[in-house]
Amino acid sequence: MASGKKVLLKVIILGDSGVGKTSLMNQYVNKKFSNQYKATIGADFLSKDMVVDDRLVTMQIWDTAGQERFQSLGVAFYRGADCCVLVYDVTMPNTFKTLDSWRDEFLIQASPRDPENLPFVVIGNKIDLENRVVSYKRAQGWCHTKNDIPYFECSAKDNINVEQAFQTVAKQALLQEADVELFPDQFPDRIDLKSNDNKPKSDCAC
Amino acid sequence: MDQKSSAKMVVYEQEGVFIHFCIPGSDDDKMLGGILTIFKDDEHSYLQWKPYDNIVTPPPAEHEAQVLSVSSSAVVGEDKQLDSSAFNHEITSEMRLPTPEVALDPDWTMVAKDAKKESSTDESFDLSMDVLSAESQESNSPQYTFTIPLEDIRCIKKSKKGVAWAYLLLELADGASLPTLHFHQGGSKKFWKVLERYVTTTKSLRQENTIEITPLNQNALTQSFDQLNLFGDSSFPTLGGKFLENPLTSTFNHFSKVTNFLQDFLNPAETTPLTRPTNERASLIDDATEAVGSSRIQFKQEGEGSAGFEVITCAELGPRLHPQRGKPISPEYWTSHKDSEGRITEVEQIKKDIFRGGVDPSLRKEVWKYLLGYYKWEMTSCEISELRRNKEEDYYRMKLQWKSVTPDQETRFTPLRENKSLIDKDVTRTDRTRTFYEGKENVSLKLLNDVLVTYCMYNFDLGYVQGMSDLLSPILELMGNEVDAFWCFVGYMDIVQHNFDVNQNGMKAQLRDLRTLIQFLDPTFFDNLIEKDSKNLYFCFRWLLLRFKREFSFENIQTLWEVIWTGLPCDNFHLLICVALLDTEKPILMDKDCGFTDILKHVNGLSGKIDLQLTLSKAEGIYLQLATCQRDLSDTVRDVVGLSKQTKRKQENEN
Repeated sequence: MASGKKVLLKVIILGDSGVGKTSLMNQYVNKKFSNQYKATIGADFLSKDMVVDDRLVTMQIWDTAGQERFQSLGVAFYRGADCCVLVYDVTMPNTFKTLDSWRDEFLIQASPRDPENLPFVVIGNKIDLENRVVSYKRAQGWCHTKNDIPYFECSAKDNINVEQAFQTVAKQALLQEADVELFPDQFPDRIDLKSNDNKPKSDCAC
Repeated sequence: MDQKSSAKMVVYEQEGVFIHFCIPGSDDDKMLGGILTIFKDDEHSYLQWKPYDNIVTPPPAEHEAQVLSVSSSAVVGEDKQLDSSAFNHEITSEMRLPTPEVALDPDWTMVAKDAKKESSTDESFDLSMDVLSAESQESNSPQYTFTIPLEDIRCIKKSKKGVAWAYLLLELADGASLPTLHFHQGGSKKFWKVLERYVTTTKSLRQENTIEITPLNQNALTQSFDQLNLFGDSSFPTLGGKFLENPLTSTFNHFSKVTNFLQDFLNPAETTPLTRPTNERASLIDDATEAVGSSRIQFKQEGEGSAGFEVITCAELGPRLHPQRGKPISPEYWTSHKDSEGRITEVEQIKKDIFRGGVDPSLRKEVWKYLLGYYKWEMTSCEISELRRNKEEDYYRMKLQWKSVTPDQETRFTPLRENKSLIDKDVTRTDRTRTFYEGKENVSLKLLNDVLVTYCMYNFDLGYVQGMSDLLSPILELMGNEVDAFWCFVGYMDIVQHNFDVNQNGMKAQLRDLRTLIQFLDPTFFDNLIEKDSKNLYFCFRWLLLRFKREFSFENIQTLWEVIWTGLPCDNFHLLICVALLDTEKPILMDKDCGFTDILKHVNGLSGKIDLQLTLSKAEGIYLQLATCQRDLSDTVRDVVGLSKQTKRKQENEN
């Protein structure tokens, strides 16, 4: 699949309010951590250029609000996702329990062409804290039952494992991307608007 | 329990619920009495209306509505000779269209009122009865009988207070209307109570007296008919005049136009699915205003002797003015507007001045309490002292309620525990860069937390929703104490509560209204947004949910909120602010390289970079443009900014 064309990978981060979605994204893209990120309202995204398997890719990471009622608006952002990152807080068991519904919701709303194979990655965040409640074994077990989702334990604050987790996200997304290129006509949004090559030559008088 | 009753359980039954019908072109009103029931089976709840056996035809009204009641035996006689089947299509279509105006026409209501007094059985069926019976024979059941699942109801328009009896107009999810239900023998209140057990009801932000029933299925066609206002005040009520001169020709002429017009619109409707797959539901608001192109185009019937419906093209927007902004109202000004006992005088003028320039920072603490409805303008100082005592007591009573829940109790009190946990997460990340909230053990954080948890006790149905802490933070900092902050916050939440609805209907309605405005004010920009798959306007979500809180500096957001709280110069002025902001950014947003994600990025990045006074002036300029071309506004646009109300008030004053 080696090609010079730059690929755009769309990644969605989901999980309960306060599990650290914005923090993980910022740590990965900007190498920064702040205690003072505001609660995400609406949606935002950050982009990062990276090299995966010798290919230059741009990863567009989408961050949305964690409170359940705002998810109905998420569909516009989920569409065309190449990978979904599910985040929970290892100190808050409830945030782990809701992973199931986040996953289901995503599959319903994003309506991927091939839901069976849409890649997920699970991140257990805040392992720097001492009051950990959800064990590695339990989380790993859940991931195993869900078609062997890759699982990472991270700390956005101390930048533990964040890079590794997103590298896997990119690889998974790129696999998806490679599949997609077999059906290029289903993805008109990947037409490069900047180049004029896509425009029909106007050699007709009408 | 026999089998039948376990399968179908009647939970509401009301006799004397009438359907009135008014055949366009004919001037008799017919009434059909019947029984309205709500019943449920194992899975669904249904609304059913069945007529009594006999049909009541009231005699024509005699006094108030004489112009309308021209029905004579001669006319009826002539009509009887017509082939009634020719009318079936028109009438059925009319019944299925969202045409509340026909039913709510005030003249018509008077006729109905008279009819009630003298209702009698009339055996000579006229035109409408013929139609009815023809239909009945075909379908083997009376045409007006209906049974619909409750979830198919999209909204219900209520009669205003003070009419002879309550009536309700039900609009279905597919855009159709049921015949208006008239509760001649009362029972509408009970109807609401029972209904609320089976569906979620929310007050519509768009239309007065309208309750929205968790709309899962709105389609573009409904909206397009709304916008066209095909049977609005301009069409059927005016038929009476022509009818006097030449009843038959007139009727047929108009019917033929309606038929032609409807065919184009009704056929696509048949292909619209009644229910959408779950995965499409969330994107429904995308479709809501996808209507008939630019909404500046309106269909209107031309004056006497014209050929009929005609497209009147774009309403010309006049030049945009840039009204001057003013100075904040000063302490001297404020004092001079208090009478000896502390009542505020010339309130309307004060509001105008606040709209023009805001409030001096030293006055905010006091003025906000009035603007947010915590204090009433007409209260004396003594009354305010008493109010404060009561409100303080009330606040601490509610605070004690959650404070006295022990941690052990809380383990079995999930809703409270979850609300508290959400609040805790958000308090630690709300405006922490401000001196008032910075630092770890800051006491203000505890105040912020306590006010929010107490608000949960005050409004447990709503609970805590993200965004609330942003709205409370400036209020708490200004007030400096939790009691005043709480009651001001309550006032603010009363205004914006629907933004936080579980089903997000308030936000959806706001985005829809904003879309209506942009489509009308700037069709080119709107088309550009459609091209870029951005007409959902999600990039305005944060603006709307937080009333621009994150877009402006702390000082500026205070001014902006004061201006909005005056309620001037029209309803939903904050939407005009959105339009103004987008107008300023338009050169960038309309660039061909700026797609959906770039628009979002750009809009999110505007935070802290917006010129407030310029934006307010522009928004007011846009309002003035709308106000000067009022007669050309579509009803939808007029409703959004509340100009219809203003016009009505003006007319009332003139009368």
